[in-house]
Amino acid sequence: MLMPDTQHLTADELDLLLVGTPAPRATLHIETCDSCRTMSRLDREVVGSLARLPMLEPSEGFADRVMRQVIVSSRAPQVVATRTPREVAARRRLFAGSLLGGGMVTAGFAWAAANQTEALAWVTPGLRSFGQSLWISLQTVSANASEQPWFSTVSSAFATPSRVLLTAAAVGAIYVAGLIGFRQILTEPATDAGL
Amino acid sequence: MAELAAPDWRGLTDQEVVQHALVGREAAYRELISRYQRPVFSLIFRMVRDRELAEDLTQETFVKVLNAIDSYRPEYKFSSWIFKIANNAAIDHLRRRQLDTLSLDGSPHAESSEAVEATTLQIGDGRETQLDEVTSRELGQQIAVAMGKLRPEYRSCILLRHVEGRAYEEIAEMLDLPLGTVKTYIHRARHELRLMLAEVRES
Repeated sequence: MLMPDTQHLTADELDLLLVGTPAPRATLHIETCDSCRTMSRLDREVVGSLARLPMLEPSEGFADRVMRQVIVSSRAPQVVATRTPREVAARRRLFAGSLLGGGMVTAGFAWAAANQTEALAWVTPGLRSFGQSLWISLQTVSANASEQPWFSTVSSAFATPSRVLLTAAAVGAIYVAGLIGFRQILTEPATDAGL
Repeated sequence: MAELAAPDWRGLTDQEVVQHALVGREAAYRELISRYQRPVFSLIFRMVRDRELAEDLTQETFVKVLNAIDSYRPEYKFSSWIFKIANNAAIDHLRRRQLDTLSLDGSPHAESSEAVEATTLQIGDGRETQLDEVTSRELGQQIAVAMGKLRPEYRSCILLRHVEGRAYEEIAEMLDLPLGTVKTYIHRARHELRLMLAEVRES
């Protein structure tokens, strides 16, 4: 048999009850606790009454009275960047990251300049090994590609200068269409702070 | 120079209307007034509970906001900005009034018994509250009266939350308060209103 839950609902749990997303414990508790049930009912009444309070209006001519004291801006039209707090935070993070990265690279160069022999001793074997790996990779990729069934079709697209031009134009058109498409997708919808 | 056609104001966001105001369009200023005069006046009235005073404070709020429109930062909601200024105006007034009617024993600066007596007579007499209580027959009115008894900070938080429907985070930003404090104020305000409502029900 389940023990009755004797701990009354917290303010946060009452909050969740109000917005209709109660925690399972709250739902169970309220079935057995008169005090919390009453509190929740009163809460709903209070909040309901507040939400129903009528909007009030200032007296007639309010806008004119305000405008008599307002100096209308005469600033020249200009584009003002609209950034959300998230964008501002992201820009700050990006700036801090760039600063850190840039600092590390600069420090690395400064150290290498001051210790050229040691730096070369570290870098030369690595560069040699990287160059060899790159060359082997390129050979493997080209050998694999030339054995593919589509290779002859693709190579024929570059067989003559006119075909090269045609292919370049087609690729360019696809690239521009892609850019326009992305721009449409990524454009932020306008947000309204109005009531 | 050809006059630019008037835009369809209703279709514009607040930020866009502000952009029009910034280039000197008076109609844009009027549009902002028209959008916010009711919510701002309602908020201030429910804070100070005096129509004439609420109108003065609302006017003061709009004059302050519209004259400082150049300093509006579009990454924030215009509504948050104007409510913040309106709330500050109301709170400042309530604090000043509290100072005016602070002591039931006369001014602390009074140097003679006559001076003490004279300043004691200047205390707010709560007639408005009594009158409100007599005339408050419906729940909404009772709630409004009970709101007047809350601390001003509780009052602004609960009005913004449950009348204006603002999120806790937005209220915290508007009132420059930590989120936890905003939640506590709202919970306490609701608790006091619940008690009042329970009393009314019992009587």
